[in-house]
Amino acid sequence: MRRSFDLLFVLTNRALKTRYRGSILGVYWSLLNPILMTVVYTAIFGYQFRSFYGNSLLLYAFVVFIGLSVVNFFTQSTIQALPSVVVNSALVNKIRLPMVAFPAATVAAYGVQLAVGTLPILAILTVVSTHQPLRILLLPLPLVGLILLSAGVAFLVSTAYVFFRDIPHLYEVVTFLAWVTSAVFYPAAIVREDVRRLLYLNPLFPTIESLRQIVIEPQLPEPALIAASLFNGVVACSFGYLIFNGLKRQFMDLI
Amino acid sequence: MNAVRLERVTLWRRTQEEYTFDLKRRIFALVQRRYRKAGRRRVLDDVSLRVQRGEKLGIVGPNGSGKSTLLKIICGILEPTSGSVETHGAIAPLIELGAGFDPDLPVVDNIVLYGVLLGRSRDEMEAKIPQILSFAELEEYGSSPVRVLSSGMAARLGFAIATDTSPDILILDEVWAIGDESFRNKSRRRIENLWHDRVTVLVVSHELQFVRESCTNAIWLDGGRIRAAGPAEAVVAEYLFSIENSAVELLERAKATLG
Repeated sequence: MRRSFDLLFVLTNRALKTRYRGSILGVYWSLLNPILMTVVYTAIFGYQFRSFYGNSLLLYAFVVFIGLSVVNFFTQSTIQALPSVVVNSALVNKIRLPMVAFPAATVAAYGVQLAVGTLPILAILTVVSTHQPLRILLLPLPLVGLILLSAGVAFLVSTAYVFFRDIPHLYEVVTFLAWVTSAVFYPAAIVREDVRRLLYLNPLFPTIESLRQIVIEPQLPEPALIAASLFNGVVACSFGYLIFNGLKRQFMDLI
Repeated sequence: MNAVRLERVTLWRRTQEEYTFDLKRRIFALVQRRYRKAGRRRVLDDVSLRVQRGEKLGIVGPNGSGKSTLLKIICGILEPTSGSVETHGAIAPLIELGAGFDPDLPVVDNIVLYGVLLGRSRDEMEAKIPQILSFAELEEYGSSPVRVLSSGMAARLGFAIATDTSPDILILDEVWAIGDESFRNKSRRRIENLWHDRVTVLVVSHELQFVRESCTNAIWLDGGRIRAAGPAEAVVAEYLFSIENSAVELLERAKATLG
């Protein structure tokens, strides 16, 4: 247990340091992407869709930023975790290691970025739009759901990659599907009702929706949505871990 | 007391050459009913082994006879297909130097990273940074990335980290001497210090002279089976005898065909 924790710590530290070249400013640099994207979406779709958000361009921008942050986190962390077991093959062939630490550390590094970069911004947006600072306390709950869900998927795809090296092509389709069904830049209300029901199958849906409720809705957020976000996370994480653990004995012959 | 005990260990491994690492091709093969399971090969065959605490065991045999695989089984990197493995005490694999380094991270971070990979705790490694830097003679490089070190310097650093604590069971896949002449003396002294009475050593080596002089016992692996086991001197002699015999045989056969 102690060993796994130490290992997760040093690997997460390595991922953060190599990604940001030792500068904490790097975390904020990575926020530039979703902020610029939000500006672009707002410029192009804002006037068309603001009627769904009390005619406010600003609220539309908030909605887009939340959606982008969630989908980007999921996509980036899982895509980076995908080859994590295979690229460390030299190491796992030499030392006995809990291999699950490799995908876990990749997601954990993005989790740190989420906590110190995105979370404070969401907190500011919450206060600006609802004037209820206590709501900030709710923000971490769907984010934990998101991290667990991403970790579960990371375990699954890093396992799949050991067996099949053409998985990245297929996974691109999956991440595109996650992106387009997450209603990031369009209001879900414009989708025909029977198709909209399909959008609710997206496991990211409760996370995005509950974050939007916390940050911009005047009425209190639905506890059921927050619970669903956490539930999805716990289920995905345990399922992914079980699969990883069940197949890891076969890894050594293939990497 | 046994430090290592292997009971009838057999290991089958999938042969990678035949495995399709391709989902597309695998599905096509299944659809066209051409799919066949990748082959398996027996790498270790019914190996039983007992190593007493403090014993120095040399493992000899030709390439591909399963020597390194046996060490991997003992380290717990591979699990046997059947049979049981038991070890008592902390195992330190002295791995290929630098396999755990990240070239972009500073030297001090790499010390902690490498140490934790080898199974030590983070606090312990943090505390040992100065003494490791000083042994590797790299005090001025603490905050530089490993990338700027020469390969000799990186090898020194890896050696300094790997040999910093004394384990109960030491696993050596080939013995190495690193660095320039002065560091080589230093590293040899350190290996000798690790090689004390209480520590159990398992070493794979092609240097038969070394095995004969430094090991108490030896085993001779051939095609995944133990051909001979016993006092190092006797096993090495038997192994050498067989090599010479097959060389003579080869020579005679060559002579015969040449007429």
